[in-house]
Amino acid sequence: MRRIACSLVCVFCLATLTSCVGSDQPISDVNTAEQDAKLVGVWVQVEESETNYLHIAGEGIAAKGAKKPTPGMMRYVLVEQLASDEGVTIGGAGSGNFFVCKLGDNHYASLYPMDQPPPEPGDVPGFWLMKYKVDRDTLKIWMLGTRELAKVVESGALAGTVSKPAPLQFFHIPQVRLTATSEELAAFFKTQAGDKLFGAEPAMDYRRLR
Amino acid sequence: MRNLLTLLAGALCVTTLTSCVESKHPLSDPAAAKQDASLYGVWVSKDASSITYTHIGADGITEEGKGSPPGMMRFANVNHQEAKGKPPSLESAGSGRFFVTQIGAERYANFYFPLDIDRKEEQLHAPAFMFARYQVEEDTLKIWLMDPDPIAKAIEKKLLPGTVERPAPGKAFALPKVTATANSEEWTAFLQTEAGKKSFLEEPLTYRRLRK
Repeated sequence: MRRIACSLVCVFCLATLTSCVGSDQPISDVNTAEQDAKLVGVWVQVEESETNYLHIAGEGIAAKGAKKPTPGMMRYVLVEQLASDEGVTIGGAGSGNFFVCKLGDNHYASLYPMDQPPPEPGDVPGFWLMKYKVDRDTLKIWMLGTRELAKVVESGALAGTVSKPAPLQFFHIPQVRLTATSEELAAFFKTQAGDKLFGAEPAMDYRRLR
Repeated sequence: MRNLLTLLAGALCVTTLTSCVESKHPLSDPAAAKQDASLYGVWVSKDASSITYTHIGADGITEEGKGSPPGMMRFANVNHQEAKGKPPSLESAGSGRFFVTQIGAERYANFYFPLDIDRKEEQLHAPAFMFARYQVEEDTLKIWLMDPDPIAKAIEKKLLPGTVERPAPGKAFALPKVTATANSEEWTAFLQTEAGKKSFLEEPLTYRRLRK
């Protein structure tokens, strides 16, 4: 069943036919994060009959359990629109929080599900890690390649676990869970091998609507 | 904490500081409703400190094996706060379903209330509806919210079935709770009377179409 609250992450996963990689830790510390003003706005991606609208701004509402919004925290709302001969369909709206960091020349985001408490070590269901780039009015987003990351984890270069897919599983994609610390993640992503995990082509390519 | 998933209609009531009129019945049968394609698109409404984007289309979320009625529509509402001296923020977002009814030359939206977050089947026949009159002229959408005062008076004069719970005297900012129990036929008849035509706020909420 398609749920109304399908998240950006799930859309990414479906679009790229990868399983999502969860991480116990974000790439950076939310308490020292600063908002990236270049991300603020409404972004649109048109792919054949599907149009995704990605709204991004600061976190306006305190997360569950928090008294006030975290200064560096940002929020996205994704609205999916499908066009067909029969008309225009609104598929759903999903939302979540994230915060960003810069490592070298690259920008990264750590996303976590909506309505969760502010991230505390060992007290979160997992982060999804992404690389992004804003260039004038375009926003490109790269996801971690699951198969490539599985190899890295299995080699011991990055701490985590890999669950092999069942033999008859349709897409045959392993489940990867990163257990590396934020410092280990940041150090690895700064390497060439780490950067390659995000692949050459962005998973999402948005242009600014407003 | 303000609920992130604020229903458009609920948000409108809060915005306009009016109480909402809840109806136990819609203005027409949802199963017989037709899409209003003139509403499709992304609409923008701006005030001094915020911009609201309202995405409207057909209802595309279906239960397994159970589709929405063909005429069911969906809105997704995202509010960007841009107050001076504060960083831009996403204050609220909501999504909900509605369908349209045409009575005479006027078009109305029947909003399901409360929001069907989990989309359970029984919520297809939600216990309450909220109505708004609307008009689309090219790329301008005007929405007139139902005004609870004339509806309350109509109920008290027995022109429309329902109940009115007035707040205790002296209670600041207290608003009457207006619940209409009229069926679709009674609503249709009422909205074509002079009293019915005056049962919406004079000032519309105005949206501009950003994209189709």
